[in-house]
Amino acid sequence: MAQQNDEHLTTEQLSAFLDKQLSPQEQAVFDAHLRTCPQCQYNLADLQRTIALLRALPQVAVPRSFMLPAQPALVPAGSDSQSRRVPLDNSQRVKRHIFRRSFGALSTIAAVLGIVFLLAGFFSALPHGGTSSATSSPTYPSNQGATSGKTIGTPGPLEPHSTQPNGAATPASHAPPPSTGQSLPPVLNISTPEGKDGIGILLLVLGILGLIFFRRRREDTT
Amino acid sequence: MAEQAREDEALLVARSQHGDVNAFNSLVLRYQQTTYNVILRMLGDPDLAADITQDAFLAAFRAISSFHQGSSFRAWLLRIASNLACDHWRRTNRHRVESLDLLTDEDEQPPANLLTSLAETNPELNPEESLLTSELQQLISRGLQELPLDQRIAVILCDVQGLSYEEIASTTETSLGTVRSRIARGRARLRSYLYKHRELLPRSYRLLTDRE
Repeated sequence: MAQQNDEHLTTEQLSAFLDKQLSPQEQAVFDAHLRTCPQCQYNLADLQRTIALLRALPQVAVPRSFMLPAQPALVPAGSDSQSRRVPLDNSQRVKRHIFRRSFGALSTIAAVLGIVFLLAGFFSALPHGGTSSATSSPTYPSNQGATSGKTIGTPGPLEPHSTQPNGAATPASHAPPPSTGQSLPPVLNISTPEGKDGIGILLLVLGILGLIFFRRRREDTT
Repeated sequence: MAEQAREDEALLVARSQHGDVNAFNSLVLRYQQTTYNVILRMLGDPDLAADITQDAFLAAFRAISSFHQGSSFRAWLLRIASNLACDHWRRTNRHRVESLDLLTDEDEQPPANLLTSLAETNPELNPEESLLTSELQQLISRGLQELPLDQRIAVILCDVQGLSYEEIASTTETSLGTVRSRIARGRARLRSYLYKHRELLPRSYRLLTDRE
């Protein structure tokens, strides 16, 4: 049996040759070699026979129908373990799809607004040497957010919501330093005008969490 | 696939993505035979293949929103199906030792003269309708199940189901080069397996006659 040298075609080459997966140049080179090499001719024929046997395997008829039952209990999207979704019909499915898209958009907006509020609070606090509890550092640890969040709860002069740092800076100068730290966690979600930093941090954290959650959901359905 | 059929399919997929089970069932009818056959050839057991085929369609419907219109639905569906089949195989064959029949991925071939003497021309065998005996079918099936999973899928998709390299790459989420390599090695391994069990081959089928 002849030793396989560089000139002989490997099984992978022969296989690709048969499937016409080679470049035209390679195809031509191999074709030329095959014309003069009995060994490779034999190998090729051998491979062809194996493929022919595989191709001759019949398609087996399905033993039964695999159609799905047309019941609303079927969930067309979303994983089963992580989300407990109510049974869906068409309109609900579309609504959920829109909701999911909006959720992502809202999370992004929340995060951006959070940053804006933080900057507003930061700039407004600068002339006052950072009397507010959550102003000086641009970092946003979540407990700091919680602390300043509590300060938002203290009733104070209403300030108009503003997304412009400059506009917010002026009224912010009148903001009283937080004195009593009343913990009103449920109130945090209601946007009170003061404590831009608190709102900012809160929005940013919510936005980031929302985006993470949103992305994870998308991955789950893939 | 004809343009019209492609458009019809895109519509069915879109409606499925909106929760239309009837539309999805049209897709099931269209692809259930292919899906079942792929899983059957991968696992060898008809009842098991039926169960996993059902699971595959359920999973596909649940995940239909993740399908990107414009790509091959068949490839996407078969990806789900083959993954489920692989999962099952790995779960139930964890302790299975890779066949020690000295089958390697290398170019192991039977000696040329021996095969030549085995090969027989059979004038009665009409190549156009070369029906394999059930024994031979079983032998090939067993040979397929001896292949490593990645080679098995590649050979089944290419030679048994006739998918293109591109679609196989999409189904297995690999490159064309990897597909090419796996198909070649799978075929070579199967050839060695058939040669090794050639005494089981009916005399007239020992290496089908080549027709040019």
